[in-house]
Amino acid sequence: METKVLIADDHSIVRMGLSAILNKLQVKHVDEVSNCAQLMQQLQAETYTHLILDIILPDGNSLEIIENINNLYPNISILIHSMQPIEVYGKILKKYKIHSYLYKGVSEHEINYHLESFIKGVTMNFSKVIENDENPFSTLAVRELEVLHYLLNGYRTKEISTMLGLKMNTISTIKSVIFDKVKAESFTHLLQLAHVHQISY
Amino acid sequence: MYIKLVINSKQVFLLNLLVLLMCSPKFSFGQYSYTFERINSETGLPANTIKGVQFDKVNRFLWVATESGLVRYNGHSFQSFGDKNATIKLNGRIVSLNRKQDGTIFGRLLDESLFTIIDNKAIIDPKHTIINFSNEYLNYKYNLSNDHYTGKKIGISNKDFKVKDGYFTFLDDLSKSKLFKYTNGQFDSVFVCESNEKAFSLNGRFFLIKNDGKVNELTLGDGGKMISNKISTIGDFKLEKIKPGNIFNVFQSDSTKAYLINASNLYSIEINKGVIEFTLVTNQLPNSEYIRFLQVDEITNTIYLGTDNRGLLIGRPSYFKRVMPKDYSDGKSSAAYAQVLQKNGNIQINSGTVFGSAVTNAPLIFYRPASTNTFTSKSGMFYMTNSDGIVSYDLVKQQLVNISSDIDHDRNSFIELNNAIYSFNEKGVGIKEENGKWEMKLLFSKVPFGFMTFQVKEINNNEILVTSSDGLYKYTISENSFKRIFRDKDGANFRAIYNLKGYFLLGTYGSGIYMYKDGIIKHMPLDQNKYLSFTHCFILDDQQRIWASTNKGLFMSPSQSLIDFWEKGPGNIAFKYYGKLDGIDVLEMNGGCSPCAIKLNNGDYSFPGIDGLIQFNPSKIPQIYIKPKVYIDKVYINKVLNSDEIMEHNLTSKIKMLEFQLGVSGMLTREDVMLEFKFDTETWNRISVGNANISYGNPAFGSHKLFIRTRNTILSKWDTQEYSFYINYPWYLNPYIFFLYLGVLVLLIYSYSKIRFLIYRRRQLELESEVLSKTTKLRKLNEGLTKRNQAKDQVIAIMNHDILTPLKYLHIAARNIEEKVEEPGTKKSLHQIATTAKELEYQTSNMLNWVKLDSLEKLPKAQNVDLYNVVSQLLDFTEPFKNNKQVELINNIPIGTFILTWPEQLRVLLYNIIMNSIKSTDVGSISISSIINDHIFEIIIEDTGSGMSTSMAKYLITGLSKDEVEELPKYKKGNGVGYQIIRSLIALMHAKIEITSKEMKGTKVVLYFIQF
Repeated sequence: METKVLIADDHSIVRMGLSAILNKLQVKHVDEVSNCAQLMQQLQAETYTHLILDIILPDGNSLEIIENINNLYPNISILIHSMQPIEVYGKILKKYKIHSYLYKGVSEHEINYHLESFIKGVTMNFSKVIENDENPFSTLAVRELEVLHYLLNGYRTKEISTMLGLKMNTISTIKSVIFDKVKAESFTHLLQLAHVHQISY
Repeated sequence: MYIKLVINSKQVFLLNLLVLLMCSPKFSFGQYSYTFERINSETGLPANTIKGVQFDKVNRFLWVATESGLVRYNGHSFQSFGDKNATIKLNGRIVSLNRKQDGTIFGRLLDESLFTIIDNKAIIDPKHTIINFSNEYLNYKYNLSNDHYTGKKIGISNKDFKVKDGYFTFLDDLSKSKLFKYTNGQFDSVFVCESNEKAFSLNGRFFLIKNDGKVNELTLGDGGKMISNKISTIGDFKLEKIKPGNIFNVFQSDSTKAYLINASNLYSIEINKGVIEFTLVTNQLPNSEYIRFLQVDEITNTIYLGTDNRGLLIGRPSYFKRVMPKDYSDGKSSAAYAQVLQKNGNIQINSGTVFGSAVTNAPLIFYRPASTNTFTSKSGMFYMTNSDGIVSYDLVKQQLVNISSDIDHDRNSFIELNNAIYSFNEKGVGIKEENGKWEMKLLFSKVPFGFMTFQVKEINNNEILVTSSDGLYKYTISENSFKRIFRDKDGANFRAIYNLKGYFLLGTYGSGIYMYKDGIIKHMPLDQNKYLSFTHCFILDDQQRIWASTNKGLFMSPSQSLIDFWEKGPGNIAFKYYGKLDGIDVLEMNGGCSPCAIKLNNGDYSFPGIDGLIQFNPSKIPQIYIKPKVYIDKVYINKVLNSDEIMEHNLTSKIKMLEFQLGVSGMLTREDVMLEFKFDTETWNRISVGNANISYGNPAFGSHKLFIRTRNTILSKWDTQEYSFYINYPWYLNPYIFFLYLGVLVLLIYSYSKIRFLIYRRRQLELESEVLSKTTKLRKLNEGLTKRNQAKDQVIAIMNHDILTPLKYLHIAARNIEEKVEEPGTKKSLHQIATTAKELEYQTSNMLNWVKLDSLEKLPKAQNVDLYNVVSQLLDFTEPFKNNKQVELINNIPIGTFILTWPEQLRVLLYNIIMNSIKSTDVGSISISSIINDHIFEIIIEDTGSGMSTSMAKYLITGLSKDEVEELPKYKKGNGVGYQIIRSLIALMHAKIEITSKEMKGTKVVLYFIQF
C-alpha cells in the first residue's frame, strides 16, 4: 500500500519542511491541512496511512479528535508533532492509539530519524517517558492542558471561555485544578514552572 | 556624836479623859557626821526663796518650790518646772508646796490656782485652776466637798492633821501658834500656844514642847477646847538655850513622826511603845540659818532644809573620815602609802609620818623613810627597805632586829613562803638565809629598763605571782624561774594583787582590774565612769565584800559577785561607789605599796590617800537597795519641746529627730545608777544618768517600742520600762492609700490603653487607608505587570510557536529544495536562506532562553541526567552551525555517565558554550569531555579555534564592563546573549566556570558541578 501522509499543522513552513523530509524519505503522497476542520474533511476525502498531527490547531485541540480518528480510521498511524515535551502529554497519549511523538525542539537529525521510523511503521515506546513524574505538568488532563495553553499565551478567563465554548466558572475551576496540581502559588509562579519544565506555549 | 533622848510616859486617866504622858530622857549619840551642801540660784534653783520642800517617798524625788518656779531633785541633778524649758507652765509665783492627807503633794500659786505632783511632774489641776483662797484650799486639802467649808478665812499651814475627832490645823503667826478644829463647816480656834511652845502630833495625839524641853499633851477639855496637861519634866535632858538666831521649831514629817530643831541639833520625835523618843539625828546643823522647811530621806539619812532666803541645804551623812598626819602642817606632804599600825592606834607610813590623834607614845617603826613595799611575817617580823638596806623589825618586841646590806637595792617586795622570806626587786629574786643573811637567788637576765615590782602573792607552795611595771610575772621556786605571764596591751603597770579565795584580783594603773586563776586571766568590766581604770588596792571586809580604792573614790562589791563573774560569765557585777556625796572629800587614793589597805583594831579600814588616810567602818554604812525609776520628762520632736503625753498619740510623720529627756528617780548618786535604752530590737545603749537624753534620728514609720532599763549598781538585775509609740505614715505611704494608688494605676493603665487604642485605631485607619491606596496602586501596577507578563508570554509564545519552529522547518525546507535545485544562482540563494534560517533559529532560541531565564529565581529538583546523550544530542543539534564541515565535533563523554543536575538548564548551558566554540573554530576540532573528582564533576569543552584574550575571558565570566576588554570588537562575534545565559545558569546551578584561552590556539572551558 502506498504510503500516504497527512500533515496537520497551522504553520505552512512547518508543513513544507516536513514534506521536504518525507519526500527525501521517498514518500510521494503528502497532503497538508492547517486546522481540525480541514483535517477531518481531508481524512474523510482521502485514505491515509500516516497522520502527522500538531496538537494545538487554530480551531481546537487535536487531542479531542484523536479518539474519533482512532475510531473512524483505525489503520492510520498517528505521530504527534508538538511544541511540548513528551512528558507533558505522556499519560494522555497513553489513552489513545498513538504511534509516535515528535518534539518540535529536537535537532534536524532527530526529526529525520523520527519521521523515518514513523514512516517505516516503528511504534514508539511511551512507557519510559510516561513514568517520568518529575514534570508536574504531566499530571494535567487534556482540558487542563488546553486551558494551560491559553493561560500561558496570556488569555483571560473570559477569553478562554469564549474560545473553548465553556462557562467562565468552568474555566475558573479548571484554573484552580491546574494551580493545585502543579503547586503554583501565583500566575507568575506558574510561568516560572512552565519555563523550568520547558512547557512551550 | 550620837545622843538619844527618850521620854518615858505613862498614861494618867483624868475625869475629863485627859491623858498624862510621862516622859523621861534617854541619851544616845548620832551615828554619822554630816556635811551640808547649799543649793541656790547659782547651782540649780530658780530662786533662793524657798516656798516649800516636799520629799516624795514613793517615787523618791525631792520637790522644791521657790518663788520663781518648781524644781525636782533626784539626788544629783535638778529638773525645772515653770521655766521657759518646762512642759508645764506654772503661771505666777508659787505660794506654797504642801501635802494632802493621802500624801499627794500639791502646790498653790499666787493666782490661787493649784498644781499637783503626779509621779515625775507637776500638773495643773483642771478642777481647781483658781481657788477661793483658804476655804477652797482647805476643802481641797481635806477632800471636802467644794462648798463644805464656809467659815472664815484662816491661814495656810503645813501642820494639818486628821485625827479621830476631826480635822485640825496649826497656824503659826508671828507670836503664837493656834490650833484650829474643823467643826460644822468651819475651823474654830481650840487652843492658843505660848510663844515658847511648838506643837506636833504623833499617832493622833497632840503635844506641845517648850523650848526648855518640857512636853505637854493637848487633850479635849470642857466646851470642846483643848487643854494642855503637863505630863513630865524632861529629866536631865536640856535643850540648848535658845539664842538669838538659833532655831527652835518642830516639823511634822507625817502622822507618826516629827522633827525638832534646836540650834544645831536635829531630833526625830516618835512614840515607841508608849514612850516618846527624841533621837538626835545630827548636831551639825548649820548655824544662823532660817530654816522654814525640813524633809528627811530616812533611807539615805539625807536632810533637806529649805531656808527662808538662802536656798536649799542638803545634809548628807559622812561615812568616811579623813585622817591627817599628827603633826600635819602646811608644806609637809600628807600623802600616805604603806601603813603600819602603832600600838597607840596611830598609823605610821613608810615615809615615817604618823597619822592619827593618839597622844600616847609608841615606838616608831620607820626610823627613816623606807620604800613603799613592806611585809609582816607570820611571826610578827616586819621587813622594809631603806637606805641602810633591808631592815628587820620585831613588831612583837617592838625593836629593831637586823639591818642587812647584803642586797643593795632600794626597793624590795617581800613574801613568806615555806618558812622562807623572798624578796623581789628590779635585779632579781633574793631569799633570806637561815643565818639571817640575804642572798640573790635569781638575777633577771631580761627585764625592761625601770623594771619595778609591786605586790606579790603566793599561788601555791611553789609559785608566786608578782605585779610589776612590766605586767604580771610568775616566779616558780622549783625552777627558780621568773617569767612574765601577761602584759596588758597598753602596757599598764600591774600594782595590786589580792587573793580572794583563790581568785586573784589584779589592779592596774590605767587598764582596770584583771582576775587571775589557774593560769587564766580575764579582764573585768569597768564602771560606767571608768573610775576603776586606776585601781590601787583591795581588801575584804567582815561581810565578805571587797573594797577597792581608785583615783576617784572607793568601790565596794560583794565578793560572791566577783567570783560569779569568773564562774558564770560576764553578767552584771554588783558594786557600790563611794565618793564625795558619801563623805570622801578627797577622792584620789594611793597605791603601789605594801600593805595598801589595812584593818584597824576598832574594825575600821584605812586606805592610803593622796591627802591623808581614808578610814571608815563598813558595817556602819547602810546598804541602800533602792530601785531607781526612769521617767520621760520631755519629748523633743524636731527640736520642738513636747510633754511626754504626746507619746500617747500618734506622732507626726514629719519626724526627723525624736529626742527623749529622761528623769531618773531614786536619790542615788549618778555613779550608782546604770541607764540603758534601745529601740525595738536593737542592742542596748548605755547613757549617762547625768545626761539622760535619747536621740532617735530619722525613725521609721509605724509602731515602735522604746525600752529603758535602770539598775542600781549594787543590784544585779535591771528594771525595764517599755514605752510604745506610733509614727504616722505620710499620707502617700499609708497602707490604705495603696488602694487609691492601685485604683489610680488601674485608671492610668485604662486611660493609657484607651488612648493608645485610639491612637492605634487612628493609625490603623490611616494605615488601612494608606494600604488601600498602596494596594490600589500595587494592583494597578500588578495589573500592568501582569499585562506586561502576558504580553511577554505572548511574545515568548509567538517566538516559540510562530518564529522558532517555522525557522527550523524553513531551514529544513530550504536545504531540501537547495539539494534539488540545479541552477547555481538559485541554489546559492537557497543555501543562503537555509543558513540564515539556521542562524535566526539559534538567535531566537537563545533570546527565548534568555527571556525565560530572566524571570527564573530557582531551579526545581535536580535529576539524574545521561550526560553522554545530552552532549550527543547537542552536537547533533549544533552540527549544522559549523563554519567548516571539516571541523570535527567530538563527544569524549564516556557512555553511561550520569550526573545529578537540571537537564534542560545543562542542555542550554552546553548548547551556548558549544555554539561559541563552533563559531570561533574554523579548523580542527571541538571536544567535550568530563572528569569526576570526589564531589566535583567537570565538563571540559575544548576547541582549536581563534581563542581570546584573558580580559575577554574574564569579561565573559564576570560580565563586567566591556571597557576592560582589549580589542573587544575583534572577538565579538555574537550579541552577548549567549554568555549572559551562561552566567545566569552558572549562578542558578551553583556551578563554576573557568576559561583558558590562547589566541590562535584555542579555548578551553571547564564547568564545575557539585555532585550531592
